[in-house]
Amino acid sequence: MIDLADFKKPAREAAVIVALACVLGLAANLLHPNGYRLVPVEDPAYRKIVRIDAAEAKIKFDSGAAVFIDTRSPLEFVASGIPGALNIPGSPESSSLNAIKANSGIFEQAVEPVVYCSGLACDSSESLARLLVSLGYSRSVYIVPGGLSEWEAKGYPVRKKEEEKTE
Amino acid sequence: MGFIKNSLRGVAYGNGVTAFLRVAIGLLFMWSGGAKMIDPAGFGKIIGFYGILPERLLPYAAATLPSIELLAGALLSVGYRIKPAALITASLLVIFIAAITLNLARGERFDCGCFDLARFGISETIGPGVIARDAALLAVALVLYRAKKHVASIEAVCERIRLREL
Repeated sequence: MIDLADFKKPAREAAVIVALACVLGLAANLLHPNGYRLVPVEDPAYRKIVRIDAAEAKIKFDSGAAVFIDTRSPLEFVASGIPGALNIPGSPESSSLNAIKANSGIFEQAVEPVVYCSGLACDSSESLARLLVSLGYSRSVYIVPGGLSEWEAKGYPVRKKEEEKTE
Repeated sequence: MGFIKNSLRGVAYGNGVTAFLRVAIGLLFMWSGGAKMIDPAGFGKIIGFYGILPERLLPYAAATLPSIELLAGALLSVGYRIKPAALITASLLVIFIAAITLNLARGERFDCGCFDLARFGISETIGPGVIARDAALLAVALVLYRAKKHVASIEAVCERIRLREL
């Protein structure tokens, strides 16, 4: 159906257009207020944010010294989550601030906040961790970039809606 | 019968109907790409539902796919670099059809996230209807790729200027 002899030129031009579109798309994502953070930037202001994997998070979970914070939407949180986790949505910022205010007592205790969202495709955990640091939270804030999907994949305990009602 | 055959031949060669189809599919892709660019996280989530790409690549796909749709759609609408833009559109549609068919075979049912038409009350849940629609759009993209003449396009204007200067 398509003449292969005439295919080379449009294919080459298509490749250039796709490359240009990718550059534009990545630039637009960079400027988008809710765009993905594709390259983690080490900002000295956020030195206190420590990224850990699910196995390290599990050690903190077992020690009982950590408070797990689920930054997904309340609907997703009701459906499943890490047992005992708090729900503080990572966006919009006004909801995060209200939820942090409502749970301010917890952040005054000597606990290690471990923040997670659904997985690598979300970055609401990063947003919330940055918000906590910018609010003057003085201890380290731990993020599990692999999120609930990594935690679940390792076979660690997950609360499902039927098993436990959220508080 | 002969009339239909002649009409189809005219569309395949390139006439007003071809131009209408080109602008329509171009605008559809521009709308689709623009809507996805407004909410990259929402689109990333939908790509995740397909279960095809590794999770690590989802943000990159969510950031770049909409701009490819937007640019290819814009080029088709204005009629510039029509052949490569039609090729990109056709390739995207082949990928969409394959991804939807695969998930349909897996027994999945979710909003395909194709053209963001749900806001107009048009269901885009993956199914044979969505595949048929994408196949029809693929046929249009291939017609645009093969068409010899593109009326009401920047390419046509450039060609006219070039001929005048000969």
